[in-house]
Amino acid sequence: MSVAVSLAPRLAIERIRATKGAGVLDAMAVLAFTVSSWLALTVAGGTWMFFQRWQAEGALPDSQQTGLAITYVALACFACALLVIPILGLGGGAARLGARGRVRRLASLRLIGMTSGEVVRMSVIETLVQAVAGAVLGSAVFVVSLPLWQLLSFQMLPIGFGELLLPWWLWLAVIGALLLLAVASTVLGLRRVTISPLGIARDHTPRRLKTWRLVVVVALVVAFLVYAQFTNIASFIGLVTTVVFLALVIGSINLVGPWLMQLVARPGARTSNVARLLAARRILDDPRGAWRNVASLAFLGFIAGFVVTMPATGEGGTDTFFVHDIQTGVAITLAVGLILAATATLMTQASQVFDRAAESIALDRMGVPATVHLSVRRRLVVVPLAVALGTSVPLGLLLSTVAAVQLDSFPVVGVSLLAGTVILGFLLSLGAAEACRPLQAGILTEQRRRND
Amino acid sequence: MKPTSTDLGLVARVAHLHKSYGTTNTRVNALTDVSVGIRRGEFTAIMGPSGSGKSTLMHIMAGLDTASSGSVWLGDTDISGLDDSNLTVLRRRRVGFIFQSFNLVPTLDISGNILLPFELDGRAPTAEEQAWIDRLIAVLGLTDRLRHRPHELSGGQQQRVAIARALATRPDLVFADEPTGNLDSRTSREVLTLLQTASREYGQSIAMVTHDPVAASYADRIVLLNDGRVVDDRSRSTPEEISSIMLGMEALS
Ligand SMILES: Nc1ncnc2c1ncn2[C@@H]1O[C@H](COP(=O)(O)OP(=O)(O)OP(=O)(O)O)[C@@H](O)[C@H]1O
Ligand SMILES: [Mg+2]
Repeated sequence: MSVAVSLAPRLAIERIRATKGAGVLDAMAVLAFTVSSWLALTVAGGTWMFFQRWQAEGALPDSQQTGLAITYVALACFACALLVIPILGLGGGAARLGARGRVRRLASLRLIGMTSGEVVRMSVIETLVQAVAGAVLGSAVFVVSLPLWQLLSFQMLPIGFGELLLPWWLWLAVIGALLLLAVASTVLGLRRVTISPLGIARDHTPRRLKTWRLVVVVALVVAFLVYAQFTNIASFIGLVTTVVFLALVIGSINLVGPWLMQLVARPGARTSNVARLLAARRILDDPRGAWRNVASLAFLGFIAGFVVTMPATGEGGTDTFFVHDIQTGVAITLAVGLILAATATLMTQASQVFDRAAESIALDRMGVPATVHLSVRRRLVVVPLAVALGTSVPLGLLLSTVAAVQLDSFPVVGVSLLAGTVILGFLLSLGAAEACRPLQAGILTEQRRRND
Repeated sequence: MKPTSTDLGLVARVAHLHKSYGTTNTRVNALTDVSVGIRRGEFTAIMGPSGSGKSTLMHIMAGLDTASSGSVWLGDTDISGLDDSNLTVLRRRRVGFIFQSFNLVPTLDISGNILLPFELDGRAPTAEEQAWIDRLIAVLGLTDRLRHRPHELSGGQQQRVAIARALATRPDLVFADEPTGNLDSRTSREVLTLLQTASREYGQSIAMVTHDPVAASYADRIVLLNDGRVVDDRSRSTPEEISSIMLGMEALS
């Protein structure tokens, strides 16, 4: 233990001081933890607000709203369930950041006598330091952003200043979950690459992903649709089980995602177009990674697809405030999701620049022009994203039929939210790819010594 | 009872070592029935053409890789049965490494790199060890460079840091794989002289892998490998003698 404890912070500090590149990655990990804890706290805070309004006698202006209060809590929980995965995904991504670079660095420590247990402990400590820094910053951003929420109102009441503020135990639970996840991702990530002292991080040869993944997902979707026919969503139990089931279905998209990536990339590996070939090879090399890059946006696409029909769900007599509130809620959820996805994309892109440094340098020396690099990067963003959205949006639309009642008019708001999400998703991802260009250029020009 | 390695004056030993890579279809026999011992206090060169199994032999002797069959002793410890973390601890207490790629930690300065083996062992150097380290640093001409980072040093200087780190703990045995592979001939001579001095004056046991006859001529003993087998084991020789043996070997294979 002592070695890991004493060495980890020192190495981290030295690293930030010594190398520009690694500093960027560390900063990015902290940024990711900041964003994920800020948004996790915000989402939890919103749910807490509805819970309190429901609990407190006379908090709401009239009886109709009091009657609907529980629905608000449920819907907020629903939004939480939808956002949990991208939030956790971002935290996990931050923990995995630059894993290959880290492996190379750790190999020399292994050689001179650090045991693999110590290596894992040291990395966990590094991650924890970043995660705690992010949690502190994220909490600060959360508190600072509180006044802004006063501009919005729900249940015909403006959001009060303190309403989103979480009690300490809930705050602790949210942050604790994020930290736990960060640690778990680090341990799992390092377990996959056994760090050999010889430095050859024995990259596991990518196994062909099996079709059972597709089967599981299709089975789950069908089961869900059938289940929904026999459940009364209006009852509390029915709503909770539906939400849980839905979360399961959403989670299962992660099973089929990598498989789809592989499916789409395989023909590309047999082309003579260099950029297409390289992009396809990289996806095939790590289909899970390719999926992870777009997973957050896939969820967003799913949510946006799912809610297209939502605003029209209000029962006959419901006032317009309910529809309005739902639209606001959906817009907030999507906005939160887009911020998460943008951060996640930026982070994975940057981390890949470093992970692929050796390959990029080799290609550069071989005379592969910079335009090809750029084209590869764009393909690596656009192709997986198109596949992801092409799957998740229709799936969201399909599953939304569970909740939707008849549409009396074309769902203008829902469709524009969906379109906005898809367009912003593409733009943000391409933007993240562009933002990494200076990093890539830096890698290629850096006078790297052959051996360090 | 069989004599132990110590009785035989050996710091490391392999017996009937076989190593193959790959599966049945793509099998490569890197080492075939190799039995050899590294003598205490000697500077031994392991020579042979490219692909003859030199690095593989060294990695297995150092516990960095495992044998397909056969026995491996480091000192009197049979390391073929040790698990990874015991092996690691053994390595950090008893073995030093100097590789062609210098394996320095880029984020630590020179002094941090040299002291790292002690730190990993959770202790500070004793006064006696510190005096030894200071002497090494002086002899290696690194005194002015202690606060620099590896990337601010030339290849030869980095290699000298790696040597200082490998010798700092006074390990039973230092393994060097092509330690001069990246260096020009003048710097190579410096580095080789240093290794020779460490062995002669301080009794440091060194096993050095090389395919360079000049480098091998600095050693007290030369073990020749060809095609995964030990084909010759001779005492100190001139570069010319070594070259002609190597040429003969290449003609055969
Ligand atoms: N990980 C591996 N997988 C498959 N084959 C390997 C592996 N490592 C080494 N080999 C093979 O084992 C044989 C011996 O390799 P080794 O690295 O020991 O050679 P060497 O004598 O050090 O050569 P050089 O002077 O070129 O470094 C070679 O044929 C090599 O291709
Ligand atoms: Mg070799």
